[in-house]
Amino acid sequence: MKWLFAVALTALASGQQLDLGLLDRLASRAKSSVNVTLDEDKLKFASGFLSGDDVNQAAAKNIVSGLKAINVRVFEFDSPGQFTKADLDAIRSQVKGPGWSKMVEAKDGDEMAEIYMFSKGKEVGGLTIIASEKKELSVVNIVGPIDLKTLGSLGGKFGIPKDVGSTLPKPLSPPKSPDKKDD
Amino acid sequence: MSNVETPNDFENELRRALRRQEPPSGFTDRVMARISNRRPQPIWHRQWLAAAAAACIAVIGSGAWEQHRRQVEGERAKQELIYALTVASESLQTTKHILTR
Amino acid sequence: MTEAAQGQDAFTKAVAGDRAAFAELVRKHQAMVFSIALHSLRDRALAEELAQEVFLDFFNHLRDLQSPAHAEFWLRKVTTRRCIDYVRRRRRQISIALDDAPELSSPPVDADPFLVETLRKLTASLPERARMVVLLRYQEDLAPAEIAETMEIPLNSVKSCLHRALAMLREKLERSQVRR
Repeated sequence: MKWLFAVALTALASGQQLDLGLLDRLASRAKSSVNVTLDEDKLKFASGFLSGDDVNQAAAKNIVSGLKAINVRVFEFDSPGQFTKADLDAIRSQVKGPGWSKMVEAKDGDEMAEIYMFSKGKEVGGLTIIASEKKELSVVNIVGPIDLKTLGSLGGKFGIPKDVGSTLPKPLSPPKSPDKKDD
Repeated sequence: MSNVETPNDFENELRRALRRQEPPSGFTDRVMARISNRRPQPIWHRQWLAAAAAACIAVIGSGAWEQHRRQVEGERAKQELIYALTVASESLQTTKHILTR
Repeated sequence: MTEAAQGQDAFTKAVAGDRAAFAELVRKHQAMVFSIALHSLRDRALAEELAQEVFLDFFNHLRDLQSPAHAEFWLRKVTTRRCIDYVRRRRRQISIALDDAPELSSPPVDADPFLVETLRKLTASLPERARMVVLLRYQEDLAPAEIAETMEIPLNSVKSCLHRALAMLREKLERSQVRR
């Protein structure tokens, strides 16, 4: 079976932003969870730190230009059965509105993946991916024109795995100057 | 390049590529030293602490601090962005993996 | 003394607290543990760190193990699980692209070095479960039933995962050959 997204999709349209906060209650049941919320300003800010000299970071920069938001939730659980169909339906109900269509639903054993696309006519404006296995759930919502072929080819290129539960380094606190009083 | 034609050829090449390798010399000694000393922190954590400490020591003055803070926040935002793209890309790969027969 | 008898002897002594015997067990199994980690993580320093942690765990759990064969099974299972967990939990950090990653070792004299390195990279690019199934099959030569037992997943999942992973590797390899 040929990959459904062999042709890059390029038209511009604004996409639908989903409310992934409905899943945040799963964090209390999860062994670890990750929440990434990037609005348009933060995407531009972050993109400015991507290196144009690195092929993969340059590709990422290209993917991100024009996007309005990227939201990600990843949960890892100690045991199966910690998230239910009802939890996923909270997301699925949001991709049933006008403009959304289900592109792919794939299931094998305990692995499941669904891909939804937002479009106006032939123009693509957003993407939602729901992927799960027994003890892990990932939801990605991308708002804006997205090139799926390039996005799919990034996998593994950064050497960064689907990381769950670790935290980013905390922002540094300003050092105290020995010559000044504390404010 | 080798002509990998039959399934057996391919699997044999895979076995050759993935065959076991010895760790760097002195590995056993380092394991035994850790057992004796019970070293608590994995190397990536020590490297991060060392880098954070060096960064704090190196920053002098509020102007340099602000520049440094922006750099740190920028790197953090970049990491979040790359993470998000990686999750999305891997989810697409997983979907393709399930669909492929 | 036969090799099996030597192995039993070292195991028995190590369980009894003999450090030299334990070091012998480490030397015996270090290539297996290190290589699973290396081919999973594609980073020598991380692979060594993970391998060291596995052997520290091994030291702490030695008394729970019944035999040399049980010890080997335990090491393989724990290494597999740690690699999968590590890949999922690792701290987000910028890492060099796989294309820029240094060669993992000198390629065998009788093999095509480009093919060897390409296959390693392609294997490391598989989803984590598929990657581990391929490693256990082609590095460790385990049968699907043994892989299922090691990874604690159904046998049918192993078989279908292996089938799909090989198809994906073949396809990616063909594409990489066309690009050369």
